[in-house]
Amino acid sequence: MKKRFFIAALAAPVIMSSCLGDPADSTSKATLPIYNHVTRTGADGETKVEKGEYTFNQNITKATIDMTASLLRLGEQTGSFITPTQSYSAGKGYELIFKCQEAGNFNNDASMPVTGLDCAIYNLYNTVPETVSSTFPKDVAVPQQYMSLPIMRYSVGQDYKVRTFFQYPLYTGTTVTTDDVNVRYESKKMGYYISMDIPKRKATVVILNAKFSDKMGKELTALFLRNLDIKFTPSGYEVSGAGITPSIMMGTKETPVPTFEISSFQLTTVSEDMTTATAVYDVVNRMGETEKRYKGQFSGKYTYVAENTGKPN
Amino acid sequence: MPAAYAAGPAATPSDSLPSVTLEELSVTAVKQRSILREQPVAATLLTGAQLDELNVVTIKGISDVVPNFYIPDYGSRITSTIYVRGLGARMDQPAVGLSVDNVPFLNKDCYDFDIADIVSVDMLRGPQSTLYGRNTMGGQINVTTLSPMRYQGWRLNTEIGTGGNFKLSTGWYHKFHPDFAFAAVGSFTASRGFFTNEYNGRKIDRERLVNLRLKQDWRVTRSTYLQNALSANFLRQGGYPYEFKETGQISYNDTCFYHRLMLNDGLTVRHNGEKVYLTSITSWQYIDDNMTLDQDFLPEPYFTLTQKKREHAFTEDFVVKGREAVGPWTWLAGAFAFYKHLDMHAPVTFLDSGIRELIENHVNQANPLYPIRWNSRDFKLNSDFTIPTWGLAVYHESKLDFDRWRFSAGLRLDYERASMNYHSHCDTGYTIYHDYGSGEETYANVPIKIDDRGDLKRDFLTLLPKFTAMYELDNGSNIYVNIAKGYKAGGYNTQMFSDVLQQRLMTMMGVGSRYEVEDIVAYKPESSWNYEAGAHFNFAGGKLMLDLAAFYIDCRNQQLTMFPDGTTTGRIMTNAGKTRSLGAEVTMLVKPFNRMTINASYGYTNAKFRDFFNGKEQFKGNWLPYVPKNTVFLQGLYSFPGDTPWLKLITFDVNLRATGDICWNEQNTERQDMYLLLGAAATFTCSRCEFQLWGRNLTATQYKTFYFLSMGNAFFQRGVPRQIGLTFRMNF
Repeated sequence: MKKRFFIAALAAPVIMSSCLGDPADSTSKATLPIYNHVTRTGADGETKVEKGEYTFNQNITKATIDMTASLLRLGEQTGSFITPTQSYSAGKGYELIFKCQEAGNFNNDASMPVTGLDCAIYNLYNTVPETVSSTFPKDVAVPQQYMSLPIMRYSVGQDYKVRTFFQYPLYTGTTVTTDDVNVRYESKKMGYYISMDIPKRKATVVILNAKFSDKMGKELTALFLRNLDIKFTPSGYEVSGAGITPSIMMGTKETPVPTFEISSFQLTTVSEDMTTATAVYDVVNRMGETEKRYKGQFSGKYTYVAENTGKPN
Repeated sequence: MPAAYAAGPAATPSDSLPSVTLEELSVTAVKQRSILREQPVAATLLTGAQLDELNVVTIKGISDVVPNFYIPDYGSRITSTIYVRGLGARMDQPAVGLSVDNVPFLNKDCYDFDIADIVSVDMLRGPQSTLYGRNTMGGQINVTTLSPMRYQGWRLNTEIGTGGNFKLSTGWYHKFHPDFAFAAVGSFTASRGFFTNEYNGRKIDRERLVNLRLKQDWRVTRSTYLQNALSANFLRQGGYPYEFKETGQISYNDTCFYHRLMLNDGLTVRHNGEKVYLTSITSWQYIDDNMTLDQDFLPEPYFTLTQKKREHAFTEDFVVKGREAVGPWTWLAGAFAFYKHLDMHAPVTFLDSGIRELIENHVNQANPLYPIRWNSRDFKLNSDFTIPTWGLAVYHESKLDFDRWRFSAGLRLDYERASMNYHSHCDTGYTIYHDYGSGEETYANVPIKIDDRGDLKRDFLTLLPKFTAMYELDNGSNIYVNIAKGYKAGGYNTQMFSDVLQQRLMTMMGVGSRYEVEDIVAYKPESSWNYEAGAHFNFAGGKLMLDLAAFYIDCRNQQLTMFPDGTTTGRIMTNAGKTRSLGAEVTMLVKPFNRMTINASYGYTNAKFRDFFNGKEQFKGNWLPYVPKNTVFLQGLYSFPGDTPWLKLITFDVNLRATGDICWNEQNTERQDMYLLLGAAATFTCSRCEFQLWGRNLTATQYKTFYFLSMGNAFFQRGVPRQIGLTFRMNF
């Protein structure tokens, strides 16, 4: 039996969506804003990032879908395209997947065909728990769980390669830290939440359950690294900073933790769809009499899906 | 064995249905045959006389008398942790079932109370889940008290002993009519206690206990019998004489006590039909108790815990048993239902030292330039729970008798729904300061308001089979094998909630990670397979009775606490353990000559983890904690007639109990070596009364009965020291 997908209507602050028609009619329409990462192919590989909008019309009974992309900025032009109606299928984590080799024309211009569309609409599971995010400062937005994320890539004409990406990813996976005598500590609980201010090319990284050594005692619930730089490259993006004094939330008050210093931090996406990233960083711990140094390495993704559990993870 | 009930009026032609006898009303007789040694089960029957000889009035008193049956005496009467053959539970669901006058006690917090005029205690070892249902994984204890149909008159029992012990019980038994009898029994127990709190010089384990029982037996018709037993138990107890390992002292500053009101009523109706026996056992139990503890058990004010609860429980067990065999086949079937409703209020109060050392110091170590100070030197983490639980079960057992062979197979289908509604709340706050070197300024004031509510539900469905085969030898002897599945219910552990709240509090200070409530407090059922072979032998015309049993128990999903992955503190309740237990039991009764009786029992249990990783350490191959490897009971009784008209009989009793070794923790780094307790009694029996001079632990053996950690500190409970007393019993 085909799985039924319904792009749910969510009242999340980050996305706007609407649902027209009665679900009993088995149709759904939703508009999902997301950022476009646009790379101009060729020698310069110029990369621009602009907010776009994608509207999906889904017919659940027929398991078909079509998509309208709007606010797509390519060079000096802003426009849209509409894909033909396509069949869709289910991914392991119930993400909706559809592909379309010939996906319409940009601004109906036959010289700018949209090709190689590969789209997965995820139900976001990885997000900061509400009991933690409820204490976050107002400038660090956190998305709602299960919001729909259209992660896709396609080409327009010969010049443009477009990928969408999420500006509030929580990367989880495995972190390995080593101290200055090479004692290794591994954690699967640490997460790296990125809240991007794209127009300013700045980001706040929140390290959840931050613990760099087995001897450290209790982990820090959320360690804030402020004012990091974002760099968009043809391969994805990079978030980095140096000499950072982190802070923690005590109640709703952001409080510096000068006993820790993040002397360097760099997170880089490594997959084409930018859902997977690695990070390396150096931490100086000045608690106690002796200064301790740790080197951290992380690898993980924000669309992690547990196999055969019946739910995304 | 209890004496047979005297026959009633002669049957008339219209009375074609057989009469009901008193012995048929006990739940043991309803679900099994009356003579346990004719069953393929390891069982011990203790008569009232044997219990009087040992001065036993609670089930704790039979610890070690029954092989591999251990109930350590620690804490207060709320703690009834029973270990049988390596199976046991310190928290929540019990591993052994208890019924008193057919009233099943669903909550093990109520297992420890004085019972006057006990006629018999049956202790069935091994899983009894097929017939008795949930939480009988280690066995089932059935206590029967004296019926007014059997005895009429007054009974008086009074006792004084060291430790300021005083007991007085009075029973009035009256038969208003040949078919209707009534009993009212009341008792009072007081104890000054044995252990002193060095902090204030007061005795810790004092207690006052009042019991009342009203029992009524009514033969409604020749074939229908009705018995009702209503009891009330009112307790005021100190308790918790925990000694700090480092100092060897019992010394703590905050109040500890346990108060309890318990009401029970059990109605048994038995009807002997033409083709079937019908028995209905309906019970109601009400508990209202308050346990208040100095949770750190130290002289400094760290934190205290109060746990107040009110629980109603209803049960109905309906049994149908074929009256006559159909060829080799006999059968019984039944249906069981229960409903429990528990309301609990359990605040933890943090005090000055606790706030400073458990909270402020932890946070300030992480961020010394921004230290915090709590706004008050005490605050409460409140937790309120409503826990309704209900269940349904149907069961069946068939037996086939072929000459000397007896086979039986039984199956129980058990469904249970456990729910928890919780409300955790806290209203407190702290101030963050900024230490700028030459001074300090207020950085921020942080209020902490927690108000979490939730509803959790779980369903459990299980099949519980049992198979036995027995071969009858001559002289009432037999050998048997027994395979049965045991089951301990899952549910929600309220004690873990304080961990949930404390972690919530720490995350509001930027430290620690939050856990989902359900992940920490919920646990699944525990199940085991029990393989047993045994024998009951009678020699020399009953002068020597010997019972043997060997067993192997494979336990999966054992309910244990562990540390979640990646953390060093905080616990969750989980089904993480695989254990196995193997051992043997020997029980012997010897009467070498008329005046002498020797009772002996020995139990050996080798119980180890097959696999248990608690998030930090692997304990595979380690001994299970709290399980004694050996239990020994040896008793010699010598009686001879008195040489005076008023003194009929003199009996001397010397007995020895030995328990151990016991490991106290999963790491097996703390242990209690085997210890011996010597007891003795001299009983002078007159025509209507009896004087008994008795002593327990006559060699004043020092031993530990319990061990635990609190805030990383180790505590023990010492065993009760030497006791000497005098008991007077009179019937008139």
